[in-house]
Amino acid sequence: MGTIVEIRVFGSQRALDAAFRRIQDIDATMGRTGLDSEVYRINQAAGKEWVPVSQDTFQVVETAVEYAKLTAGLFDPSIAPLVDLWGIGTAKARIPSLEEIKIAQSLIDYGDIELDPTGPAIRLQHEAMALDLGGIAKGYGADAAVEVLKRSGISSAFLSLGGNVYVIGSKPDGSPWRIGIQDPDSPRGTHITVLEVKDTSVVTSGPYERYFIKDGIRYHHILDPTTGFPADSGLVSVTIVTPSSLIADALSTGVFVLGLEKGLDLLESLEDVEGILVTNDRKVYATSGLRGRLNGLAKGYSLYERQ
Amino acid sequence: MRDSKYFLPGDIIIYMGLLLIFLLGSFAAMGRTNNGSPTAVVTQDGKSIHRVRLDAVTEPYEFRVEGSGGAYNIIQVEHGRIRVVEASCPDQIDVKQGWISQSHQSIVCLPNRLVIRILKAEHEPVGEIDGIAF
Repeated sequence: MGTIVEIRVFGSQRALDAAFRRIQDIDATMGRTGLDSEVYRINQAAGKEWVPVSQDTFQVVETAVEYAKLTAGLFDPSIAPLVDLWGIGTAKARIPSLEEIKIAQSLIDYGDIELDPTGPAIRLQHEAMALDLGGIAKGYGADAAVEVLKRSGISSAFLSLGGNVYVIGSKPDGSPWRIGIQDPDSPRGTHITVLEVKDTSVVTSGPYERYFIKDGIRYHHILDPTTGFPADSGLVSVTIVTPSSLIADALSTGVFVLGLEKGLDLLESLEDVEGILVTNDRKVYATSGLRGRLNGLAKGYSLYERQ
Repeated sequence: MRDSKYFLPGDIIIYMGLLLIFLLGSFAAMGRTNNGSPTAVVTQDGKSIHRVRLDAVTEPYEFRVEGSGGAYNIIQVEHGRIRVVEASCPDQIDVKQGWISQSHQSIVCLPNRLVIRILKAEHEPVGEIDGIAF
């Protein structure tokens, strides 16, 4: 995942070590490269054979496909060819030609990911197709680590996998965890509002995470499979609050590409899922379950309600 | 023949009008964006095209803003300050102004309808936090 993992538990060192091992294991299995990467094996076998995979990988890909359907493919785990083409966040980042984009786009289709739960095994239907679980493996890592901690009897913990926050229970003093939401205008560390939460994941996506600037235009890492370009939906930040960090990861990307109206519609239609959306004119919208729960708002931002 | 191809006697009204329109536009665009530490906002034609928290800049960077008819400005950003380092305009006022770093300072490039303004540093406390989602 290439990210910093922070875990604060109120319990045993043993449980903490086990949680870290679980995260490392998932990272190795679901990264794009490396000897233990099942994703690498699936991509290598694209258009050819089935690849036996772990329950972990199967569950992540199965959930990813489910949320790809929900977002009409705006979140799509088979976006790898487009991600590789832009290389945003790598030294090879560049603006591809329209022709290259077209070719990459033609390879993206979550409907061509075949899942066999009895194996479990996965097969990509076409050669050159590829999976990229980079956007959601962090979320699954957080969920899995939380499971390990809970099984060891931990009832209070704070986890952050490169900004993917998960909190177990409440703070040791019984008060809720206070989680800041990143200010999209600042590279890192300043928040625009605070949520008080228990037993949930809080995941924020925005164009400020990885990008390059060319001729005054910012090209960020959240790509829209339908245009082949960085998403330009009018949003600058999407936060998802839900007990599954994996789902929060998939939805934060999907809703970012969907935009304000369709994004809010989708979130309101889902059980146990809440969200905060910030538009590029600094209007902040919250889903009905979070209304009245935003603690203050940084200057320059204003809270809006959808009419 | 006129002695200047940039400035004709009647143009002063047009220039003043233009200046007023895009200053109003950019101030309107920036009025609501005052948050936290000093933030530089670059606007072109009154539309915000780049925003940056100056105290959060670690690596200096520069970028180019293109206008119509080949007009351009190259803007440099460093920790705590911002300037126009190169521009196509004949007067070079924006370049000569150098770095700005204080609240309410601004750089204006009329030919390219570009304004850089530093917003007032002000912090809205929203309480202590245990962590941040980013």
